[in-house]
Amino acid sequence: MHTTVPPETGQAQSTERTVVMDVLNITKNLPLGRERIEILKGISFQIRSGEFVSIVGPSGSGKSTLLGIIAGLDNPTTGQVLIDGVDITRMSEGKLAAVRNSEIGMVFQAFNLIPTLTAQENVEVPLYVGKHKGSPSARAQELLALVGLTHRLDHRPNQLSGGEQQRVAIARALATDPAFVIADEPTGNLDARNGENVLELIAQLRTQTGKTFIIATHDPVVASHADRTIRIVDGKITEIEHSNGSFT
Amino acid sequence: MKASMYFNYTSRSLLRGGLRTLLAVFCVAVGVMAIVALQLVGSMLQNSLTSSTRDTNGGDIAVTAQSVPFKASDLSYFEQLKSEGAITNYTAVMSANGSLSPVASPGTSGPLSPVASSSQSFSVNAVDPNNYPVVSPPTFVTPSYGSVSNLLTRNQVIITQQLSTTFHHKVGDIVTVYIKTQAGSGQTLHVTIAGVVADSGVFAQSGNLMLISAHDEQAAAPSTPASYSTVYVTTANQAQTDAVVKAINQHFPLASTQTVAGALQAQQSSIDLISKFLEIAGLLALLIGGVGIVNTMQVLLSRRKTEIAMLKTTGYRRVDLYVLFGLEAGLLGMVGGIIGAAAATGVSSIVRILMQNLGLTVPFQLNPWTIAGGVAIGLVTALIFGLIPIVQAANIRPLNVIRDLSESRGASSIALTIALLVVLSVLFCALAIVILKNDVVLGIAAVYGAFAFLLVLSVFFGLVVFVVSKLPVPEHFDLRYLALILVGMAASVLLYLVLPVFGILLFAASLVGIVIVLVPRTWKVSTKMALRNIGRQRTRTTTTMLALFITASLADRR
Ligand SMILES: Nc1ncnc2c1ncn2[C@@H]1O[C@H](COP(=O)(O)OP(=O)(O)OP(=O)(O)O)[C@@H](O)[C@H]1O
Ligand SMILES: [Mg+2]
Repeated sequence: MHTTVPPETGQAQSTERTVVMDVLNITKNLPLGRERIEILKGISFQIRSGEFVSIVGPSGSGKSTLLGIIAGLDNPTTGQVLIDGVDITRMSEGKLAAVRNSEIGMVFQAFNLIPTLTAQENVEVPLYVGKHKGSPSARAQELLALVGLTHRLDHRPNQLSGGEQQRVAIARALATDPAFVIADEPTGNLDARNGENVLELIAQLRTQTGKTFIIATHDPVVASHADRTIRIVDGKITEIEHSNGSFT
Repeated sequence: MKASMYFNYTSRSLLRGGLRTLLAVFCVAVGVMAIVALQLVGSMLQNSLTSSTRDTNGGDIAVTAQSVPFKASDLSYFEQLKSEGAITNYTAVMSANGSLSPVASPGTSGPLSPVASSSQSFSVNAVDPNNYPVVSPPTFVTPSYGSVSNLLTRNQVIITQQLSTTFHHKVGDIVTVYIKTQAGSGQTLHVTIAGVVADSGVFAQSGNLMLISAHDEQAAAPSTPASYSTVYVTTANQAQTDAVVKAINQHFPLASTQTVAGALQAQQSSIDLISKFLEIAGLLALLIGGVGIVNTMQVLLSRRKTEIAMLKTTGYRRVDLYVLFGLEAGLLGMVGGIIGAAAATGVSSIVRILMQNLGLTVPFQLNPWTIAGGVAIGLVTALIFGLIPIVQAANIRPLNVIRDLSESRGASSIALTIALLVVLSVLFCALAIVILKNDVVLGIAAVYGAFAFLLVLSVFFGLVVFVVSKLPVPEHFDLRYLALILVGMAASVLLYLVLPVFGILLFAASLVGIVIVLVPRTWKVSTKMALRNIGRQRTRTTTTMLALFITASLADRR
């Protein structure tokens, strides 16, 4: 549904593509002792279908907090996150779970695979809730083939290398065919070579699937692959850089 | 498909839990074992008493002369009943008191010396060897193939095993017995012990008893007319019993009758009391096992915080997690229930052997329903007590996948825990009532009594944990810290006067407070970390302490 325009040709016409995520003036405060700390201080941006957006910024600037909010894992103190025009910040548990299941795939620095399940079973996990067509195991095998792990279907996470684990995690994120893949430092736990491999995989998947990727990272290489880079410092957006060189 | 995936996930998570899982299974198994074993023992007791009551009663009806003994002429009434077919058989017994002469020297034929204490006296029953007992024949210890009619011949007697042990007499011994009947006449007999019978069946409640032939007794005192104290009657069925009892009561208004049903009724209330007691003991064990389940499942699930948050991130709702973790608790409970029921069978067969050694005949029935019931109890218990950890785990926020959030301590989470405790106690109460065979009042009293006790304990431990988690780890002595230690020591002395163990513990803790200032920095840092960790997981630490305390105090009692 969001895959109408191939991303390669999309950059120049990005303004014409549909807005699939609208982040409106997000703030996040947390109590710390007697005071409240402001982690996010009013963040707004839009993401269009098929875009690859990176979020960068110094450590502690609020990247992970922001990702948690746009992925529906956390509530903002104020502000809204609209996905396809629907606000996900004030949803009931059931509806939000359905959004997380069908619209959003997530990838983390620490992979977060379920240690007791095999690679294939890990990819099947999201397919056992919500409504999905076809056989979960066939879908999992297809995705693991896509990330080049056909020979590792029955391995447990502790029998896989870091790079392999992250590929399983990426396959899992794609399992329900979501519109968004949201990743928090996906290369953070990998060495340079494995990081590069995962990044190539992401770029390749983006071409093949046309999904929207939002990736928080410290890694300048990751950021260089993105169509747009949103820079956050101290809970505020300081600049948005387009890969064609223009700034906002 | 989905089911097999859920099962895989559940069983592997349990395997991964390792020792903790084993501990939880053990908790269930011990509770189930207690309940099933105690139930089995209770029903064995019941069975053994029901089947043996007729024997113990001596017949379907025991007719006992209260003040005036039966004379030989009275027996003709029973003879008539027998010939009419109103009863199937009867036998009359003369009762007397007997005592042994310490030395059976030929010179002394009189009564025992006055030194003889009452403990040396015993009952003597003179019976008709050819027609006694009218119920199941007794079991002979020696000779193994003995019978009353063969052994009770000329001046030979049979004694119960208890008498044999009390007086250290065995088969073949010749003793001098002084026999004194109720009527007052006394006589001395020289007799040979010909047989020893087990204290079971007709002799189950006889105690120290010597059986002699009525013929021998009569021969010793030919001048005294025969007087019988009890007539034992057998009938063909209950209807006959009821009719005959009426007739006998009319014919002998001064005698009292005891039927099997009557004897059972008298014992039934005490059996009921015993089996209720056993069941409550089992329930308490189950409750304690339940605390163990709460604790181990809390630990098992909180270890998997990130994993659970990840499941939520991929779209699992609370209900989905209830199913997953409910399956986990159910599997735990089933395995524990099977082990517990198997162990209970073993325990009750040991009890059976012990009871048989005590001379009780115990018909052993391995009821498949008891085993199935045990497994069901394990399953239900694990689910009931799994409720708290399961709901808590399903409440883990998905954000935990990004950062480790400490357990929430808001008013709502406290309210939730209290609500869950209430639900748990109601469910457990329902289980208890079922186990206690619908005794509602007893079930409620037992469960809430135990709950109140556990609650008081956990509030106490909760306070201790709270205080411990707030303890300072200072870099050097300052006034406030010294004051704190002094207060601690003073309190420990006062506590020592009331609860010595706790006083010593508090004193030791205060001493540690002094020592901690002097230890190297790295130690201080780890101590601080340990204390803060306790503070982060207060409920968990409290239930752990509770479980440990109960286990320790139970072990102590043994
Ligand atoms: N639950 C919390 N309690 C207190 N402070 C918090 C909490 N969550 C986040 N913070 C603070 O909010 C700030 C932003 O955190 P966040 O994890 O979003 O940063 P980040 O940009 O992802 O950093 P990094 O690049 O190191 O991952 C940090 O200063 C952090 O200390
Ligand atoms: Mg981060």
